[in-house]
Amino acid sequence: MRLEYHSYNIWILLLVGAAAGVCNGLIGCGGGIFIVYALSYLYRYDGEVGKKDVFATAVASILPMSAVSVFMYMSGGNAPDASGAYKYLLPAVIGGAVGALLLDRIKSRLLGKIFAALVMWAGLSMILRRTGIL
Amino acid sequence: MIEFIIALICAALSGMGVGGGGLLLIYLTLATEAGQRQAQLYNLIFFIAASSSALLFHVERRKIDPAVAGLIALGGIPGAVLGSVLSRAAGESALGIILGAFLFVSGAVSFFGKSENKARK
Repeated sequence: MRLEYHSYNIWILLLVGAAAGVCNGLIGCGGGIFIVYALSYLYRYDGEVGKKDVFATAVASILPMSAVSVFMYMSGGNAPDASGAYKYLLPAVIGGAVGALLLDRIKSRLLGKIFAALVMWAGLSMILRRTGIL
Repeated sequence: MIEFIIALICAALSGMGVGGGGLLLIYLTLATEAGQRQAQLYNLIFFIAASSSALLFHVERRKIDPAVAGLIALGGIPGAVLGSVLSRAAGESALGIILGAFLFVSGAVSFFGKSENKARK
């Protein structure tokens, strides 16, 4: 990877990280989209860095943010009960590894479009439910 | 059993970079009795497990620049603290609306966007 460390790039990375971190702490997910777009822009002239490399870098950088968010959620008063999360750990570990291995074998573009549509639908239905329209 | 399968599929899709880390959160929010912040906490714990597992393979197979990931994380950690504090201050309904809006916009960007053309496959 040949990203040049101009101060301009460093500030972009710090600011994008901050935006992703706020998103991660506030709604418990997301942030990756900011990182993927920013890195795609910064690496636009580097033919050796592909979309899958950008995605892996995004995952690596979100991991510590998520750990901090979990610590913040569980510390202090009014912490939500986390005891039910254990049942998702085993499938998470297995599924994460399977997904990483399948990334080389599956054309994920179509899947990505299908799930983007699903995410749009889920977002809309969440807004409609919370506002009492649905 | 059904939750195991759903979580497995969500983790595999997250590991492949499809749908990001929010797929289980959608399920938890729309199909279970979990409160909004509780669902978000579950999703964060789930994401840590899934992404740690995926990273073991990504580190070997992908070009990850530790300095780039480190700088993003450096900006992200205070951001995560701020976001978590804001999440505590916001009500469950407000969080649900914010999440819904975020999902809708990010889904639209992923659906209509052309970011994959900027970074070569």
